[in-house]
Amino acid sequence: MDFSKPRYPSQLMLQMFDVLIADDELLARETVKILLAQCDDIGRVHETNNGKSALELVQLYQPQIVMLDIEMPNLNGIEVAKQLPDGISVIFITAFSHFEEHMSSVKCAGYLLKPFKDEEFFACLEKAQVIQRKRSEQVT
Amino acid sequence: MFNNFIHNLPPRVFWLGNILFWLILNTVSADHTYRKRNMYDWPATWLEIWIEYLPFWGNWALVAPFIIAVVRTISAKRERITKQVIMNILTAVAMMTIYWGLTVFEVALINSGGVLRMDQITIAFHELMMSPLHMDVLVYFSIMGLGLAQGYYARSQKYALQSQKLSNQLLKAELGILKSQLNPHFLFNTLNTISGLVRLDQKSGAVVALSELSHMFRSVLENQNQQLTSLRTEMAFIDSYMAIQKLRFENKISIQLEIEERCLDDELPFMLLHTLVENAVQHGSQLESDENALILKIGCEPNWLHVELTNKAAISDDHKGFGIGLQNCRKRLKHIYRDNFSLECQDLQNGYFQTKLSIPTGQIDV
Repeated sequence: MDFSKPRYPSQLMLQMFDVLIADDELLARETVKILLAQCDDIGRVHETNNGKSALELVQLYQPQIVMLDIEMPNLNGIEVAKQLPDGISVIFITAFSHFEEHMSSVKCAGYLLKPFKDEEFFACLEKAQVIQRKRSEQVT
Repeated sequence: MFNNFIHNLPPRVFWLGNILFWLILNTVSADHTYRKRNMYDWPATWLEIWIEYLPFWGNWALVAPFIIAVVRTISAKRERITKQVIMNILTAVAMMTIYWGLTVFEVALINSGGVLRMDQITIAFHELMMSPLHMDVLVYFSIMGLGLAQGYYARSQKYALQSQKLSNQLLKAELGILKSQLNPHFLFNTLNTISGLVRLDQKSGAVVALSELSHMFRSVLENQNQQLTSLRTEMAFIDSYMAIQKLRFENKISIQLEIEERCLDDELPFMLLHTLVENAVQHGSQLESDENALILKIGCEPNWLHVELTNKAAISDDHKGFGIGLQNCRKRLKHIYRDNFSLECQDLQNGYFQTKLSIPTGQIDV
């Protein structure tokens, strides 16, 4: 099976999603960027290495999907997620072993435990896209 | 049967002491009677009286060890108190019967001058009845008391030994828990880094990360059962760790080492320095600024090893994570060196944090 491209019903108009990646590790961000590049419906991709600027970039670029690491300088991923405006789909990407315990306090579209497989990444991304698509249908 | 009673005395010494004790009592008692009889003009030689008394005192030398052994056995069984009392009474009756029987037999034997005559047994029995029997009972209780005391003493010794063993085990278990372990978070991050390197087609980086990670695991496997390791091994472990962290954070994290060559064979708790370095790296990686070099200085003098670790820390940092790591280090050091070490941390106020450690390196009992 080819997992490199997610499959959507062809009659749906292709909606582009902007993504923000916040991870303090350059290599982790590069990995996510490579995977995002394999998707057709991903628009602009922004990145940052800390929590505070993640919030600033969200204000500036208003992405639909935010991918957050938990352990980041000055503001951790959980705190960032709590302060995000409504309507943004959050995906946590973390090596945290007891992540589920922390997750109960925030809303998120899904999470990926490092290291993850390509198909896990695409499945999680698709979940966030489905949520975003439903949301935009409600708006229109 | 006497094994418990005499376990710390050679049997020969025990029996010699036992017989000597009762012979001394026999002598004291005989001497007392000898002087009294002379006073009341009822003469007898000293030796005659001594031999006359011998069946009374001497027999205790035979019976007393049995009494003590039986009394100890009864108290060791830890039955209900009523059952113990009944068993002790039965023992007392049996032992006194044996003792009196032996005495009558011996008195009769002495009186009949070697060849036992039946009429002498009756006379000896009457003689026994005239003797102060309550004294025999008192002597019996003294011996029984000694047996009980012996039993309690032996049991308390056993419990003391057991509790010592248990507290040793507890200490070992605590040490096992405190012993540093490879942080699982670090493992997952490293595996993620490797998968990232593979995805980005940076094969050489992936190979470096894999071999350094393997080195760390091998080192843990080789040293996990030893409390102490050489500084050389510890530094090799830290080198691998830093190599992986450099792959992850590039120039954001680096380490500046100033280590005296002659200290490399000194011994220290395995992964203790690693814990300090890992703490410092975690704090450094949380900083926004680049170039957060750690400075690790290690020096030594005869029987002492000195470590000084300086790292950047955010001014706002509450050192919370650092505190837990340090607390565990301190507990572990206390277990190994008791109070013979020093671990101090200082916020240098200029954005730097300093940890100073001194441990003894001579012969220590771990």
